[in-house]
Amino acid sequence: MLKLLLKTLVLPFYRLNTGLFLFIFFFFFGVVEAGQLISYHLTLIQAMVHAAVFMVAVCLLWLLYFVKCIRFALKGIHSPANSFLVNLQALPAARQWLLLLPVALLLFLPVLAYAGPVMYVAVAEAESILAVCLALYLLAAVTAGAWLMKYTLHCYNRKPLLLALPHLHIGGTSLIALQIANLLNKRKVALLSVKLMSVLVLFGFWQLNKHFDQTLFLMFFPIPVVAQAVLVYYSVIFTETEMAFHRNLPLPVIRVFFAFTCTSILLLLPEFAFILLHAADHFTWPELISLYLLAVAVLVLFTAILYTLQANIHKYMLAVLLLYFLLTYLMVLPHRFTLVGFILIVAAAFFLRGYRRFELSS
Amino acid sequence: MLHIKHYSKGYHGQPPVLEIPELHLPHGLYWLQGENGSGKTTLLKSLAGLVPFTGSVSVARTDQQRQPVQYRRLVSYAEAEPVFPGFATGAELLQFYSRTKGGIQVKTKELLQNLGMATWVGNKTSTYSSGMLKKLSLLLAFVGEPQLILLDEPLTTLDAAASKTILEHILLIHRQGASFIITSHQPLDAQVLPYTLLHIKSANLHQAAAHA
Repeated sequence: MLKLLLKTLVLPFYRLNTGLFLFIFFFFFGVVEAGQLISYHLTLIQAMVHAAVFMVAVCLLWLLYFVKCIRFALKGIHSPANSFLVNLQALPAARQWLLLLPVALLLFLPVLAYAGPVMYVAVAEAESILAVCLALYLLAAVTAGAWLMKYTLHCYNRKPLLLALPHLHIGGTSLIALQIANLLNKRKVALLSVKLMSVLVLFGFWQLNKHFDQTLFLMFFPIPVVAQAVLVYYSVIFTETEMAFHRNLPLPVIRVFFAFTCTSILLLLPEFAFILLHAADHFTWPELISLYLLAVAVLVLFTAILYTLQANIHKYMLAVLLLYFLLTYLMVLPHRFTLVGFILIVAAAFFLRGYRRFELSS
Repeated sequence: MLHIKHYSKGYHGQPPVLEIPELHLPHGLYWLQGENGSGKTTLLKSLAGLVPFTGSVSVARTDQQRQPVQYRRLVSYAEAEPVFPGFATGAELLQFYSRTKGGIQVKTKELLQNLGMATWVGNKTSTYSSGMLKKLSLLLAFVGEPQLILLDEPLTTLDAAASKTILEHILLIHRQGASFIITSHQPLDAQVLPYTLLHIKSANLHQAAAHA
């Protein structure tokens, strides 16, 4: 019976979110050289253990992941294809817990796997209370997840509150407004996670580098930029599935390109605001604007790459990884506005070609 | 009206599912027939500019590749199983189409009323039934002043009254100068719609006799 539950609620989750996991794996393990991987993560974990704000933010990020997992499981229980799961009600309560706890555990596995070393470091750094609190937090999350699934099975006719997250209405009827509305409505957990993650990375930089080093910051800057790669992917997929009809509308291709550019500009506003608040003293205005425009140009290039690669997530992630490494070298070069112009021209060329030939494989 | 030359469409390196060496269709109302998987939807999507293909397609001497914007003003398409963003309302999508296609005609507004859409068009499309989605999709295909309207299974999921309204509207718009290519597994009454048969067989498109 557990096997059936894993097949209906766990495996589809990992299958559907392959892109997200590839992205997370890349984000945490691909951005540093293999030799520095352990020291990089140890520094990150030590920052979590010693800075309460950092730890709270990480817990919030994990909470968003838990919400994503449980929303998927609850939707799965409610889907017509899985209606047979309602028969689990007939089992004794203890047996139901024994079946649903492993489901929650396996859904939360990526977080639990990372939380283990965090707790170990906390104990080693004489922060045992933090380790206990963390263990209780994770235990509460797994139990709550299993309980929510059990509750949903027993109250099958009621829509779980977790599935009824508020919908945000964006009045506009342009491609840009619809793309933003998609991220705010259908991808709100991913959007929040990415924004929290990138701001967290920027915050971590400021915590670890009290004496601001501009060169170091420029080499670090591509990390929060590439964190947006997953949102770019969701925007392209939305445009080519739910908005596929736009291809029959008399919209010049350049206008579609412009819509993606505007979406990128809006997407990066929170990071820009964060940098403005913290680094305004260390950069001139033209430098700040060139940084922002460079980030926008990179997202537009991601869009163009997705169209060129027929939205193949594996190839896309590889391209993002390569671009990340290239960007860390390009960041420190002078004439950043020229670089922005060059990236936008390359992106436009790739986009025009890729958009016309694009066909989403079913 | 419609001119197709050296058309070929295949998927991912496979042999072409459909090939049309050359075809010229004058103004008319065409019923496109073919077995399941014969390529009817692929052809309509190609003509609508939704999927890439090799060859050339033009409507009223406007080429799809060379004049993509003008071409799309002339050609409208309604999918068999329409998909729209669930958070957008029908009214918003209508506004989006109207802005790009060049306005909503009086007759289209009448169609909205006749299909009984006025009461729910302001709701989010995620709340629509499949029949309501179909009505919205068909209505959107009539926005602007298209010269060629491609309707993929326009009658499925529609109730009898809505089917009648749609067929009457097709005839009305056809008499005003628009051509239609319709796929339908439901029989079309030649007394109501004077159609010409098009048949896809062995990955080729054949034109049959007119029925009136």
